[in-house]
Amino acid sequence: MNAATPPTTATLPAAPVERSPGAKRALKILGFLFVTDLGRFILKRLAFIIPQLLVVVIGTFFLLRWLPVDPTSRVVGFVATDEARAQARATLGIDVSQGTQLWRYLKGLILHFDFGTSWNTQDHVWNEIVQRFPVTIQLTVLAFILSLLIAIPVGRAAAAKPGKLPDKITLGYSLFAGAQPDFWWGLMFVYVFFFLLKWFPAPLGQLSPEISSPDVHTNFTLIDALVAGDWNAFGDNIWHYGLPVITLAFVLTGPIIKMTRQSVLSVVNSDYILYAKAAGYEAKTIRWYMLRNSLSPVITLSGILFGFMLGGAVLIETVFSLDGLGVYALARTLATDFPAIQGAVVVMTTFSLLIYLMMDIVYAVLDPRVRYGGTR
Amino acid sequence: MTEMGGPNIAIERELDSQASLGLQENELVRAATMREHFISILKGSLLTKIGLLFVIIFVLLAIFGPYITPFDTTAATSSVNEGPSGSHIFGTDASGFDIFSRVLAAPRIDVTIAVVATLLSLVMGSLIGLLASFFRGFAGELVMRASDTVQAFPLFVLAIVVVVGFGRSYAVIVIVIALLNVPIYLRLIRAEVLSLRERTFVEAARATGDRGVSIALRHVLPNAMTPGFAQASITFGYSIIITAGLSFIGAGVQPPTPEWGSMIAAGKDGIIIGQWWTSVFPGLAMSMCVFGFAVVGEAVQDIFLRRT
Amino acid sequence: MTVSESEFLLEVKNLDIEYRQVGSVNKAVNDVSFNVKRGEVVGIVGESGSGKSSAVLAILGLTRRSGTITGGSVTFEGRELFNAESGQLKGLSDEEWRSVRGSAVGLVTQNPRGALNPVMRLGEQLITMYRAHRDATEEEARARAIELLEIVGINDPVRRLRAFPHELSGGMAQRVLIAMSLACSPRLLIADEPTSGLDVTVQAQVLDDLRSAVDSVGSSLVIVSQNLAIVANYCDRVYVVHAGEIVEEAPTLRFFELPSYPASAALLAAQRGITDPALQLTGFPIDGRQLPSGCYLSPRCPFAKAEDGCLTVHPDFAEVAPGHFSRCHRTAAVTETVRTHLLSVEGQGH
Repeated sequence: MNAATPPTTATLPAAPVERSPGAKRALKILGFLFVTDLGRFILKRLAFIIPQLLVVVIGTFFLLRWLPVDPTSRVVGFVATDEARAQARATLGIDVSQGTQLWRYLKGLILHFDFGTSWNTQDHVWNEIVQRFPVTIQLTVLAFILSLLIAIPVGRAAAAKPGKLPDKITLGYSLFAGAQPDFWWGLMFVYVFFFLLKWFPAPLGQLSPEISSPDVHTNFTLIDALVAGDWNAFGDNIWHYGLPVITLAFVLTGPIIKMTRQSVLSVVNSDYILYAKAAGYEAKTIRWYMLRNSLSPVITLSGILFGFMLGGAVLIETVFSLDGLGVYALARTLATDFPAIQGAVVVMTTFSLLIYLMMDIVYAVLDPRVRYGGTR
Repeated sequence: MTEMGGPNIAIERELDSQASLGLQENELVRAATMREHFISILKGSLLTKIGLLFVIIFVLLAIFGPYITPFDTTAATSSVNEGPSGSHIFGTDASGFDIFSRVLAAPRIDVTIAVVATLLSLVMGSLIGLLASFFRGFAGELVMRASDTVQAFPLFVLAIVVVVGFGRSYAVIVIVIALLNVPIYLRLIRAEVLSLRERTFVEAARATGDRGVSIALRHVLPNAMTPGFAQASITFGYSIIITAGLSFIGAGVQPPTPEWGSMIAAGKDGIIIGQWWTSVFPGLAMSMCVFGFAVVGEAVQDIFLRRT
Repeated sequence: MTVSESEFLLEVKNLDIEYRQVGSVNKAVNDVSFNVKRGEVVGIVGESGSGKSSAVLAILGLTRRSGTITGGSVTFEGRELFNAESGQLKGLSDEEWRSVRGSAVGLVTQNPRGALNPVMRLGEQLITMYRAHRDATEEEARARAIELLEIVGINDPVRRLRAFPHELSGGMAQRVLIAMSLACSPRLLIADEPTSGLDVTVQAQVLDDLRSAVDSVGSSLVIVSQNLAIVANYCDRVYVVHAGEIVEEAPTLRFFELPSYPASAALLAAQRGITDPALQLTGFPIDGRQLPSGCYLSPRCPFAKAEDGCLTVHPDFAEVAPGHFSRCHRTAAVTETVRTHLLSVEGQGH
């Protein structure tokens, strides 16, 4: 339009709508999610999560029922009358068809977040899980923090002088550590560091018997102790987690160092870093490029390793008498307690999926190429 | 730019003719490098030699171990929980079994399970991977997401559930371990097949009239399995650890069969009172064995991927 | 430092580069000297592994992994960039190098998609390049980026800014790389095998775009290549490299009329489809870890003759005609054979 014809009221934009700050923020988030590539990537991955979770729940459900075990034997023994067995089946809820069982289970799960009742203890499975899962998580998370703190700098240092002796030693160590049975090393550490050196406590749980556990808020002993200001319990808990965490970290550092070293080496020797130098970029810019491009594979690997660690936690928990979800799953498997097993597996898998999702998002932030639906 | 006198060279013709000697040179250099690499790996680092030595030792033990044990591996002797001594060089455990004999006999179980499980997962994973490679685009994405989902399961826990559910037999253990490893081979083979498919020898085969499936099985698959073979040694080691882990918590090979994991478990309670030998020796043997396989696997990967 | 009135924009003198690997030392560049005048286009030709890429990378004081500059000096616009004569590398500080690299001297390498950061969009990379050396706002840099893409012949440049390197074809990526190298209007552009790896049909296009881009910016150009056709069509002067040495130097015209070095003659013969063994090299490229005695080409040379010292005396780089140098004991024989075999077949062309 030109100056000679002023706009009519009809073409003027409407006065802006006043929105509350909450709505503004929500709109900003929605805008981010739907408009930016990163946002759309996150949405896509989130969309996949729901079916994945369903598959997990249903898969576990039918896996258990496909096993050639008869849960009623636990209740009525191996020799029982048909009546007694039928009664037991009704009590356990397996007298109806598997489809109906699944439907009931899903309903309870989705509507009430109810994982059912343990056939063993008659306790709510979710309660039992909530008491034990934090132990496993605390163990795994602490182990990961320790490993990453050690492995990434070591990997980078090894990559700085490849082929020299420290590098060879590091490579040898990483090959070695990554291929070791963590449960045996746990025992070895117990022998050396507890029995011989007395640096760490006996492998009998997460707190010394004389220390009372802090008031339960989150079931993460460390966090609860912090919240309550209970330094005794805090320190004692860390002390008890010392050996199991060191054991896990020992095994974890193997593949992480190897991957970090490989990744850093390939980035440092890459054509684009050489070009960046030839282009006269600042040293700190070049260092940022190197860091950013080399970190991605390490992050993916860590996510995968986390999943492995969760699954294998039962071994370390057994060695160190930690009452975590791993030993829970084992004990209930031996006791044919289907709801408990289901609950444990579903919770662990869901957690892993969430971790994978987070790793994928971090990866997508670092490496924008994956935002366009590339498979890794 | 000065005017060109002399022969007027049409660019297209020049660029077509392989005037640069460099091109031929590259082909020759590459072939030499692969062979050179192989030899250098064999001659190579101390680490690789140690690993190879360990692998050979334990494979031999797997075959001959049970025949050279000084004591019967499941015969209880009167000396119970005794430390290493003249007659029992690795000591005895809580049931009076001679640990040295059992350590010699154990590889047969662990290594055999590992070998069968690895071969099984290699074959299954390759076939599934080949199949999966036919799905591209959205379907391909779906397949990989499914594989991801499987990987999110606490596989060890599932292994426990299945093995206990099916009664802890060797067959079940082998199959479970094989299934655990299938996703790895699936990914490897699928990726390799996808990249190989574009290569010229497939075109050549197609030109001579081969049909899709035949091409897949006779030409593509054997080549695609190369990274799979490189991965196999690593899977051996991993399988041994899983077997031992399952047995350790009582969900695998049952005592009194000599098996590293259950032997370590037998000594677990003794550790805190200082009875170290029951757990140390089987674990040491296992550690060496798995380390050997890992190192050899690494060297094989170096050859196949031609890394320096 | 003021820019001196030297006739040469760039002078490389007695450059030595070694690559150290486990157990062996590879003398990739041996006593290499060459220069570039203002406004000139210089071609450096040689087979792969001859050391030409290492030599030109060293102009910027850089080497690839495990390489070291063990001798020589480089002077640009009268200012010494580095001097390794005493065995110690003395040169510009990092700060000073940053005013040279990317700014006064640009680089285009082979494998363009590899040279670009795979996780950054093109626009971001071009803008970073520009703002690394010029005080400019984001908008100014963006405008410059679009301008550069147009100069190198990329259409729809605004859309391309958001692309990632892997989305580009080889030719397009190479053009982008050229654009990046010209961002700060360097006085000298080094193009290391700018068309290798590209489709035959694309090569000519890219070279033309390179040439016109360079002309519009007013830079001098060094083109490194294995390909004589490129040299013939774009360069004013030619250097031939073999086994890490400069073995021939001549104005292009003269070079294509009467090459005076056996390998040059062999290249030309091969290119024209002449298979006369009198003009062919035998055997494999010389290994820089085991240089032969005497002339480095002698094991492969059809002209090698013990009586003339080919096997024992390392030939000097000598003038065979005004502005034409050759490192050969038997230049007379070479030119004679060239006259009879090469020129008689093809005629004078035009």
